[in-house]
Amino acid sequence: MIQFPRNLHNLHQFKRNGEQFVADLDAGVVIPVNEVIWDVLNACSVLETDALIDTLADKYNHSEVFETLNYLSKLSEMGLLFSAHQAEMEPIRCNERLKIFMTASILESRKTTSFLEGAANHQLLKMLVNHADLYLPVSEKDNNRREIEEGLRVEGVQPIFFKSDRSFSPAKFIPKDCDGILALSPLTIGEQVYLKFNTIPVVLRLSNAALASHAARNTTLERCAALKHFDAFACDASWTQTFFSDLVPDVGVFHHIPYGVDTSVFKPMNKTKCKHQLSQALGNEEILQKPLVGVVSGLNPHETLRFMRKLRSANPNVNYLVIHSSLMDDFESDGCVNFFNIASQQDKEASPFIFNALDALVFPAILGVSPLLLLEIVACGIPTIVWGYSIPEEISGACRFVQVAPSLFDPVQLPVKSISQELKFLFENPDEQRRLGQEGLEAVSAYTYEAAGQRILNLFRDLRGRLGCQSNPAKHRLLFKKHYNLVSGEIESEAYVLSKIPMPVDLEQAIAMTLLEEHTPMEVKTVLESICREPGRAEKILENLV
Amino acid sequence: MLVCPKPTTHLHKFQQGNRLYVADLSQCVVLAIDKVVWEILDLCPLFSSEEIVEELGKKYGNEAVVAALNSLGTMEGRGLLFSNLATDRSVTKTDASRRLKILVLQSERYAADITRATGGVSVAHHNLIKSLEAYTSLDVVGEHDEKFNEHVQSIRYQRSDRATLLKLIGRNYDAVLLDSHQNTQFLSFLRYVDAPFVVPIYSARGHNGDVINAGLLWYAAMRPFDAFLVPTNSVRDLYDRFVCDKDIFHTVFLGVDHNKFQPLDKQRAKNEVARMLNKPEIATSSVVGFFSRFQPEKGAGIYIKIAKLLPNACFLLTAPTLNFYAHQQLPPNLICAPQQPRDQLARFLNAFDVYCFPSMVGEETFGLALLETMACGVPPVVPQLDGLPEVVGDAGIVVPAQAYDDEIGSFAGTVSPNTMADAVNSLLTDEKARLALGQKARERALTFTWDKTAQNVIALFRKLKQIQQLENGYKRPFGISFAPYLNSRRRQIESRAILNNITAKKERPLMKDRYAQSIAEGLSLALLRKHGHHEVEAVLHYLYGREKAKAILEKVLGFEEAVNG
Repeated sequence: MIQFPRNLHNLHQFKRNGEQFVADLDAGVVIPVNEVIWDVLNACSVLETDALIDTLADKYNHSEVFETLNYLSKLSEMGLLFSAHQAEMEPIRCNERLKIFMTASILESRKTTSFLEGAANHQLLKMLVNHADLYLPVSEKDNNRREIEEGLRVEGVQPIFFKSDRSFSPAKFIPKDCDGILALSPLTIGEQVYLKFNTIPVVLRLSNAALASHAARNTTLERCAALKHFDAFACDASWTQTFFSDLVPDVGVFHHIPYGVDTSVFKPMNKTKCKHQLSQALGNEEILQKPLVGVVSGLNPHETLRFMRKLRSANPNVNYLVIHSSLMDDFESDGCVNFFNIASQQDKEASPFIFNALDALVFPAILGVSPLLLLEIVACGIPTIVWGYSIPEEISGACRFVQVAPSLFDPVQLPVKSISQELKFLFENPDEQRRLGQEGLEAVSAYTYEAAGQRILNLFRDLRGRLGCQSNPAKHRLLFKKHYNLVSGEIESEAYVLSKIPMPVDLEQAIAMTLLEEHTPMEVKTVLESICREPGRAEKILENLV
Repeated sequence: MLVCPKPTTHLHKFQQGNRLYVADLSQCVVLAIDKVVWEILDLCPLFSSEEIVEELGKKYGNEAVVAALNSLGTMEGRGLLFSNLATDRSVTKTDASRRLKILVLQSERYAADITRATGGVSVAHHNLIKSLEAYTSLDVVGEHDEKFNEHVQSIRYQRSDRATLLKLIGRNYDAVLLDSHQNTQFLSFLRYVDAPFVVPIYSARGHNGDVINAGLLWYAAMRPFDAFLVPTNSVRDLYDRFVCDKDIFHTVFLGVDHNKFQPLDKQRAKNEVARMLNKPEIATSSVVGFFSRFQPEKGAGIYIKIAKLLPNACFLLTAPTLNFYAHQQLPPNLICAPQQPRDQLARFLNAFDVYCFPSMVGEETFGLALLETMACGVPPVVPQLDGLPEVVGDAGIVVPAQAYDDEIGSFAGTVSPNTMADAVNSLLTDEKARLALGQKARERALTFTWDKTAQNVIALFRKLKQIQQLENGYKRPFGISFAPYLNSRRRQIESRAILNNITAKKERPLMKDRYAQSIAEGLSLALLRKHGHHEVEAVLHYLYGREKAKAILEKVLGFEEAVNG
């Protein structure tokens, strides 16, 4: 189907004996036209395809409109009426307020997102509302503004009410002049459709904590493959992309946008006082006897217990506080290893005091853990040992680091020995403890919700800018056909680029050429890897084409 | 020089910026013109050329006006500005009684009659066109706009000229008929002309693969409302071995002109031919006829062998040339006649007692010469190859033959000269049986008429038109994604396709929002966005082989059908 807006040739429209004609002065031909074409020609240099169809739908019936557009695309292929280049989108207005369409899943965030991120998203929304117009599709069946606003706990988001009709995607209700679509909480399966058939940037918040399972990782791969060159992931953790770096042709789609930290709440406090409070709360006096190491697990409950058993036997001279947000709260504390569930409202308020009771933090930079915990604990001045895929950029390397390689299928390998060595080193070197605490504080001070909001909006501006300089893959007319091979005497398949002299083209490459018109290079690579008979051929083909 | 007065009702003049133009609505062309031509066009419907020179000469000088009239004359010679083609852009209605408007794409010039046939293809096409004239309006592409009779006109078309192509598009045809599928120069018309295309296949295999490849090229490009017109089921059955879409083949038997081809007094016919060729033995012996090109592919060598095996019969052949057999020692009972004019043919064929046509595999999709001979009441002896048995039915002897079905481009069938000779001899020695079979051949031939062919082709045009109208609805393209998949059970990275429940119009037709699919299915759906299902068939054939390709395609097309209706 022909895409608008398009620039027109030098045309002269006229009527003769009740019939309508267009003279294309650039091509030197006269084309008899109907009223629909007449109207299209008058509007198509300013309207986009969808808008044009909507305008025509008021006046003509559906099939008339589609027949006409079909006919126009044939004329266009013949080099008539339209100039070769699509009219450019108007450039982005840098300082104007952006109009952002939010996905409805934010309403469900309390069900789908962890408690920590739910609260952080709320903060982020409050900031975004100050700088952008936010629209939210709301099914009319729950036409209850107060409920929605309560759901969001943010005022100023403009609901777009639509009749709850399963036959249409909410994507149909995106305002025409929107600058982008923002999915702060993970897309529901239904919302994945935002990645298809739209021409405005989509930014997907990619929560590291949500990537614990294989299923979630596969969903991410699926979304990643569908991202167009003007879409992006906004990752909350810097190390998320390390896991995907071998699976994704271009890690440039992962943009690291950390949440903010409320440093008026999370700040260094009187450690002795905090330790006493914690010891009282846990009813465990042993905590006061030895240094207390906070351990953010990021592993499943079974693995967490295994990890702690190993850590404890390797390093028996400290006490541990495992900070988790597991829904299964059946960990049994003993004198040495204690548990703190961050996911309850009551404990959340206690968390700055509890974090301040720590002498060190062991944090995993792996999938399935929220980077927010790292920021909040470091903001309390706690020296940190990070183990995982890559040094977290969040704290500019203000940590001791133990590297583990990402593994696609095996459980994460637990570098217990190295971690306990680092712990020993840390407790033997108070200067290092102080240095890490101090550098951590400085690094974290940069993270505000205001900055996070601005970075998201700037990302949209950047992505919109890419719309204009879109490097459309060259469109070829291809023909796939069978043929009788004179030499082998068999029926085989072949592909041709149709031009004045048809040029044979490798069939696998022709498949790639066709797919690239509507699919991303990553999608095409996926297909080629599945169908190419020769290893390494997918890369070669794509290298030639993209 | 342009000879005025000339009508200009189909011309439209206009000014754009500071330039002057004239649009020729009948030829779909716009030309930039100068002030002199502008004024000539004002005057030319009413005044003679001389009057125009006199009138405008005062203003521009006589030379300038004459030069302008000369260049307009050149334009006229090229079919522009003054060739007034009746324009009929009425929207086509599906009125059963209305004459269908057919565009005929052929490389040869339209001819009212053919005197000498160059081959079965041109005879078949010519007769089909002539018989369609009674029921349809035919526009035949040619060098000039020219009206032949009330229902047939030639339309000027120049290859790779957009204006003449536009003119054809603008005429809203009900259907397009090709002369032969081997004429692939018109293939690109499929992209621009919306009407159903009917492409005849008169030659199905052999020819070193050329004919099958031309067929496969059309097959790849054809839309669901186009069709191959095949003269017997044998062609469809041949293609069925390597393409999936059998429904695109429509069998319509060819016909025979019963006024031209009918039984005459056999002895008289023999006497006349004997006199004409100065071969008295024709009048007194049994005559075994051969009527085709005298080539190995048509069984010439086998025919010679049969002549040697039956030395007492007279073997009479008519062919344009003897080809390389001219330099060979031919048996004395073989008599060669030059090609006969079409109006003399019946007399010649009537001199045959038996028609012996040992053509090889791949040559005869139908056997028009066979039918013409049968129409003269001559019993045929043919091998059981390709379309011949379907034409002969039980009105002749069909000799068992060996066909190698896997062979497509080369020689793939043999018939034994001995078996053929035995069959011929059995008829020569049993006059009663021969006459009875000749009568049967005549009766069978009578059931094949060109009028019947035309009626069947018109029924096909209407059927295709109906399919087109049903097809023309909006096809909902689904958002297909392809993504790598970490299969933790098999511990490997796999590829998969996802059917997202959203169409380009943001509809959600399905129950669930997302369906995992194999790459094969996802790829098929994605390719169907840009390519016809025969093209997708070619891709799947390459990737998965014929049988699996067929299964995948059926599944995917079934799904599209379920969604779009």
